[in-house]
Amino acid sequence: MASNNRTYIQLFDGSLPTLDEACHLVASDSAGAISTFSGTTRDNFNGKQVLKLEYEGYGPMAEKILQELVEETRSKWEIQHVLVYHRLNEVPIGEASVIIAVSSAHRREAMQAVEYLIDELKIRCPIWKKEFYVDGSIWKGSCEGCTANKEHRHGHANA
Amino acid sequence: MLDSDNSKQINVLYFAAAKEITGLSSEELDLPPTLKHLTEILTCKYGDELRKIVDHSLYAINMEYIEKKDEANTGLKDKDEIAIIPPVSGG
Repeated sequence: MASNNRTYIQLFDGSLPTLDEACHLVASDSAGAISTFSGTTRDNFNGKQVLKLEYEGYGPMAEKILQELVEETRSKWEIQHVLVYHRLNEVPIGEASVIIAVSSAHRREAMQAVEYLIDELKIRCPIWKKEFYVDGSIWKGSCEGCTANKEHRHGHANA
Repeated sequence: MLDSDNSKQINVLYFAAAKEITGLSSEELDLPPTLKHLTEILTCKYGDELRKIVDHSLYAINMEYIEKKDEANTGLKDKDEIAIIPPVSGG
């Protein structure tokens, strides 16, 4: 059974496939649920207008970390097929920068798996976002490990 | 001239803010014994601006994160790929 499970991991330079296409890839006759997440680029941060966004990635390591995350997710929940796509370089406002889709026999596993995947991706996957404003630009260092109630694996200095 | 073995090299990768400070996406450096030594070399070369980034970053050796507390004791070897990983912000 487990050996038939498919994993789709890819970094894109350009538009991501639609959620419909992602659902089609993870669909399975024995899965009663497909859960998805789509992260889209916002036009504001702390009241400042964001003109555009760019993502940079350490591609080979990002794909390796995503592979590890999928394996961890499979060890926690009984899920079937998994898709995690991330877009790099410029992403116009309002377009998807990340999509995730997971199929499972029952809904709860797919929903929890999707939440785990996006949370861990944001903490561990070596991808960086740069926001461009009218008056300059900044590399975001969200480091959600500092605020999220979980182990701080990114490990940037707290001092 | 020290009789050091300059034939042993590491490849250092720079991303995001680190890439902007160094003006490079990667460079080859002579092999230092540990990550702590590498931090000193990079500080000499690029100054406190890069030092601050490194202090808030993790190193990855051959695509494996190294915990901050282990940097002083983590040895390097010929042809290692060392990346400076500033706090990530994907998603």
